[in-house]
Amino acid sequence: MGTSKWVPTVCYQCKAECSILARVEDGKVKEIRGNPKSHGKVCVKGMSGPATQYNSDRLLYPLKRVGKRGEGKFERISWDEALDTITKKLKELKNRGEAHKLTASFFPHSITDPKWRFLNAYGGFINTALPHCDSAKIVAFLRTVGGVPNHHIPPAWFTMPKGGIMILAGRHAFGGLDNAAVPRDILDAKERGAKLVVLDPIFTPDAAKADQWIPIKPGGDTAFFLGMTQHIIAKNLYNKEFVDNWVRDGDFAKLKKWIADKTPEAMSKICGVEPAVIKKLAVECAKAPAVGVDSFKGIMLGQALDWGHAWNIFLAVTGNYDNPGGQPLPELTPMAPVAPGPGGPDLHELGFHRTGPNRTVFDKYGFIMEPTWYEAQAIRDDSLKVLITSECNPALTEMGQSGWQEAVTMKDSKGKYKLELLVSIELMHSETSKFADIVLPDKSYFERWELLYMPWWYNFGHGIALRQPVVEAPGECRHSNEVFIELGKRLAPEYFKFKDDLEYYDTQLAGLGLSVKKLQDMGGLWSPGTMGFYKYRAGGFGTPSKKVHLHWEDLAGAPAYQDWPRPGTAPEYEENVKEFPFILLSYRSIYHTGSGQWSHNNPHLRDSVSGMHENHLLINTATARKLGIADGDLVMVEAPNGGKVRIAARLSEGIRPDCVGMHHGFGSTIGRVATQGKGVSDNLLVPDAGATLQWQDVVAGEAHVSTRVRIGK
Amino acid sequence: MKQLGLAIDLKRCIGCKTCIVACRNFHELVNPSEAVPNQMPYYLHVESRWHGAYPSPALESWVVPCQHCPDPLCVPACPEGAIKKDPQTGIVRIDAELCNGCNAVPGQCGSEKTKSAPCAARCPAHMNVESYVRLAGNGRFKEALRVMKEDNPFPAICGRVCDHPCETECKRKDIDEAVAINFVKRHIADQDLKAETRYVPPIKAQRKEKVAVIGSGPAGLTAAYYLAREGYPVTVFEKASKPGGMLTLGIPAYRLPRDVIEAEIQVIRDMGVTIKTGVEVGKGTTVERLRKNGYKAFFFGIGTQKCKTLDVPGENLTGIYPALDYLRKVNLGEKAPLGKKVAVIGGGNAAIDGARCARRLGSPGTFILYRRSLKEMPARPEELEELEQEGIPIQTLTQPVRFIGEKGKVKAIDCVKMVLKGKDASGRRRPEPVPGSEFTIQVDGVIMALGQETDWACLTPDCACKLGDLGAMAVNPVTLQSDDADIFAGGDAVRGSSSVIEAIADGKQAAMSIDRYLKGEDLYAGRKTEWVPVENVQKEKYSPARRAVMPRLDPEKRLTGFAEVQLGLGEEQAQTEGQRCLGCSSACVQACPYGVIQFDGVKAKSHKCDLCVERVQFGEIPVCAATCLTDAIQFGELDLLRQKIAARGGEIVEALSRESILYVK
Ligand SMILES: Cc1cc2nc3c(=O)[nH]c(=O)nc-3n(C[C@H](O)[C@H](O)[C@H](O)COP(=O)(O)OP(=O)(O)OC[C@H]3O[C@@H](n4cnc5c(N)ncnc54)[C@H](O)[C@@H]3O)c2cc1C
Ligand code: SF4
Repeated sequence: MGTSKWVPTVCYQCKAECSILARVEDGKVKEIRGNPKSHGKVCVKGMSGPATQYNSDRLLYPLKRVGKRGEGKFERISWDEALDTITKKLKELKNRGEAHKLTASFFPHSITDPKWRFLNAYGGFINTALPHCDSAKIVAFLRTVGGVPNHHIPPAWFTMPKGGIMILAGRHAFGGLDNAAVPRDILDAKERGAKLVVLDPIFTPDAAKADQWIPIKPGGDTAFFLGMTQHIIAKNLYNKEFVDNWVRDGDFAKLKKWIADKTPEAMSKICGVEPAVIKKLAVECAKAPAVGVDSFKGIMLGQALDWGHAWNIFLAVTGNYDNPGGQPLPELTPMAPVAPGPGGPDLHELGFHRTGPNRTVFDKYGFIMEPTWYEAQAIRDDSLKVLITSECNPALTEMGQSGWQEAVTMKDSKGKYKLELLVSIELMHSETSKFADIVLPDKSYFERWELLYMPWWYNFGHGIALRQPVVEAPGECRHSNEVFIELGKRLAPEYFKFKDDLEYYDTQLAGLGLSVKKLQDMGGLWSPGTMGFYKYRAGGFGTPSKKVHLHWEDLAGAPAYQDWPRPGTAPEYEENVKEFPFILLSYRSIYHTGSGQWSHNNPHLRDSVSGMHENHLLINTATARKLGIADGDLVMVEAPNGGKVRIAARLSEGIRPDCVGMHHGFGSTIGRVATQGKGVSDNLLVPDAGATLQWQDVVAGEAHVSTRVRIGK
Repeated sequence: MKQLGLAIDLKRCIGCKTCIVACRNFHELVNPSEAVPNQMPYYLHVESRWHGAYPSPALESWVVPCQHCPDPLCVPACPEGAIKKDPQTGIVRIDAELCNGCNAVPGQCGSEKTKSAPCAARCPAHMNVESYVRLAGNGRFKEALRVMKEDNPFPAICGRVCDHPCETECKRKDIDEAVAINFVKRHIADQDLKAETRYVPPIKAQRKEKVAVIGSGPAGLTAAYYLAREGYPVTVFEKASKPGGMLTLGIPAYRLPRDVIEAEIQVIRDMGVTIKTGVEVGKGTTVERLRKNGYKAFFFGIGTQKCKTLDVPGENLTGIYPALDYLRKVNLGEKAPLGKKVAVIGGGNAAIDGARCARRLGSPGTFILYRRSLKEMPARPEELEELEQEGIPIQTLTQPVRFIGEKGKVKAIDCVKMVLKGKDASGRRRPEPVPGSEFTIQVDGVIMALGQETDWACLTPDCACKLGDLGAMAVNPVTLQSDDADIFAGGDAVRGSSSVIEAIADGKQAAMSIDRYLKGEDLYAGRKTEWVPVENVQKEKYSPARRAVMPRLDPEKRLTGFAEVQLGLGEEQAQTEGQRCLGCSSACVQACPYGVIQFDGVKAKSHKCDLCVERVQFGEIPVCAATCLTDAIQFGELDLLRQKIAARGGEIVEALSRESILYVK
């Protein structure tokens, strides 16, 4: 055995980005552990990191397309040629006055991310690369409390007191992790005497550990919580102290009036849960020392903004903001700005959803990024001309996947691609990179520097983590941040006067009296070491009134009618009920959270023993018997959009009889490992979101993946 | 060091499999650049089961590492003695120096778990043939007996009468001749005949649910054996005066001596099973009555006791015996006079045994009439050989059309010649009469052995179960459960007349189903239904060697009584024969019921969890415990673990816990 050491860094097998230790031996990553100085846990995907790192499919050199888009024929080129090609196109675009027709699609790891700076400086836009992202949840929180908690800021379960109630509403917290420590923390809280309640049409592993599983109708969360809130108010059990002091004047009276007929009995009809169950939990919640609610997946079943609204009303009425066990509110760390700061393009006038024929539809759009699911439509409308994708796979994950693939291959009257340049920065070839004009080899998370700071980590309120190279990158790989800094130097040099990413991070860290070196010496982690409960008591909430806004008056009337939460479930569920008797639930597991090659092309995660080899159609045993379907039978699943997939049935007692479930993200067609696995893509069953705006959420940007299906042989 | 182990908390295990990958990383089990999904080694895996039904089930998932069993099956299975259990720590380890990797192939991994030695794959009961044969080759007969009795309660009986389909698959045939698996088995199993060397398996737990087994043939007694091992109180109801089914009532003593049957049934009695003979379910008592008396599950192994008839004139004349009646009388020592010249009609086991009995009981002119040709005859070649030695001719392509009597007693048979044409439903060629070929044979007696069917009078209206085609009971092919959730069936009663080893296989599967049924578990979960044989076997190490020849009793001496014809191999002969085995798969891999031993794809050895002893020596804890996502896995000295569990109000789930790995609820 040669030299062996443990190096602290940050995992990126999924978006949770947990602090880890990597054991490096003779220049190779061998093992992973959770970092005990952070939460100390790493999940099965993180554990499988070395297999991503040493995947034989890693891209090593820049490539340019030589065949047609989608053919997957490439030729090696130099970095100079690659960057020159991109620079030339971007200059041309800017000179045409169409800088806003550049969009970069990537997961914004951090608000310190230099990619973001480049887009602001150049005048382009970003979308999160997450088609069904939790934008509606963010918008709902922004509107009510003025803070931006997203799925990475669930209740701090480790602060949940005895007697507290943990509600997972359509949230598979043990699978789609906010942090690898969440399952432990929830189970610890349970052992301390907190109660775990799971609302989910599927019997998830979380439900298996819950004190109460409520197999709710998909999308029934809004109705369920409105029913609870109505009952709490009617029984005079609401948190008077919080409501009197922290709810905007007049809002509670308006709520009381509006919610009067949202009784548990009335809501029961929508959410399919007995009124007695709603009432019992309502009373328990009102009396509990703390209630923590987490939801993310629930919102993907449609009407997420309404649900986010109902959820916030419930939190306000029970006073569960920023208390131990309740909903934490974010706080910003005083990072130093890198001067001069680019202002950024006008979010309300430009951007691909604002410049096409549908612009008026988006009048009330309130999210800060482009709706990723509108990408394909934007290309059709000539509102998107250059697309740079990184660490994402829209060709497979974008709803109505063939819609995206068609759009990027669409030509104008002169026979030129409507999307003029498609660049993919990736670790390995993906369905998306097959269509790209330029493919750039990215550095893995074991090979790059990254300063990670988001005010929404599952952390002590907020913290900073350093991702540092633990091994050398193979071939000519460069991190996407380095690429964007280089493009910045070429296209907007006044904003890119710093030497490199390290200097950029150093400047920002100076606000805390730190530098990359110091942070490295500290073990790569900084945190204030406190949760900072009840921050609102000093200075109020982040809203204009400094109080909680229950009523969203600007959304009253047409077209939204969303000043109060609409209790109904997704409209797609109410149509075609006879021809398509089942609601399709698209779910995830701890093994795969998306369609990324890092999990789908990872041997551990595609191995049946240590991961998931293929997806199945989860179907209730009784339902299956009625249809004459046996476990393992191949069935045909068809959706109203004409989409069809053939998939093996898996019979289970753990799903509502009126629903069927399909694990999301499968169906890869590329990669040594991925192509040895089986499975089909659920996205084929979902309509192209950009072309079906009547279904979509154009206020908060959630794309509906809600659909009904029928099952045949 | 004290006994070491793990405590796995079922309230905390969420089945995330993080430990499996962590273990692979630490032990460097895979090369990530080349690893192929579903062909990767693992030291632990995850199992899960459902309880109850929608909307309130409770999923339990748990990780299964090597259990470091109190009586590990891998230890005796290894022909090299490379696997040992450390008496101090209780850790079971494979000595890499001693392991010869059997047929491990460098660079190939995973298939050893999914693929078995061809013999084991073919054996209906999937006995770990390779292990017991190779152990015999090493002279380790005692261990070999234990290995055999994991999969088969009747090795001494099978060693005599089994139709050993395993041998037809034996890879040794590529070099010379198949290993004489059955002869070796018999030699090993004969230890069971003496109380001192007998192996009586330990009873695992104490359970209170009563189980009724109906029929004491090999199917029923096998079910009883496995259920008794799980700790259930089992009562076997048998309508005949002696237990054993066809073993006792059908197969004659010159093939299967009565003391052999008795010895192996005695083991089952020693395990606490009650056998009540002379009780016919359906007449004396009924399923409904047994249910009322607290029986929670039933196994029907009632065989096929009714002989089929030819439907030709004269069948009811005296001097014509249905084979089973004849054999039953003979086997129970009753008189069944036939005269000098006896025709036995049929070509199966019952026909041949009927003929050989008649030959021994004063009918020198016994012959067999068979409507197809010798090729189609279900009898085994060695049986035909013995038949010839005993001077019993077979007249093929002949079919009786009428029995002619005199004063009510059979005198002659009118026959017709047959010719084979086309194919019937069973894929055999179909015999058709040749017009104008009638002829008559004079006889003194006839035995009709045309096959058997089941008498289902025992199924009183309180049972919902249905009969399928051929009058056999319709059961689920995997679980052997019938339409009544508490009724299971197997053996000839389900398959139609078949074989002892098929009956044993069914008894074993049914016992597993009944156990799960009584525990409220999933009947299907993790059941291996498809056995795939390995294809590539290394043969270079072996040079040709003759197959052992079974010593037989002189034909003249045979005909004077019912002395056993096959005399058995001697110890040295059995050992030499055992050495002919090529060890096609890996005996330890096949022996482990938890599936946690595998080949090392690189070094071509077997390997498995050793509780990370090399880490533990330096005061660290095993990787799985160190990385468990929910802190569900605790490592330590077993005594301390037990104390900790008790202190936290936990309860050890005895049904899952062996010795070193404690599952806690
Ligand atoms: C003559 C002969 C020779 C054979 N030779 C061989 C051989 O060499 N090798 C081989 O592998 N197979 C051989 N077989 C086949 C083999 O014996 C059978 O396949 C096997 O015994 C079937 O086992 P079983 O437990 O299903 O049924 P059986 O052995 O038939 O046992 C059924 C038992 O159930 C009892 N029973 C039936 N009804 C009731 C009731 N209502 N209540 C209580 N008890 C009841 C019967 O009395 C019987 O004891 C032979 C069969 C025969 C007839
Ligand atoms: S949840 Fe797992 S994959 Fe995601 S960052 Fe954490 S350890 Fe890595």
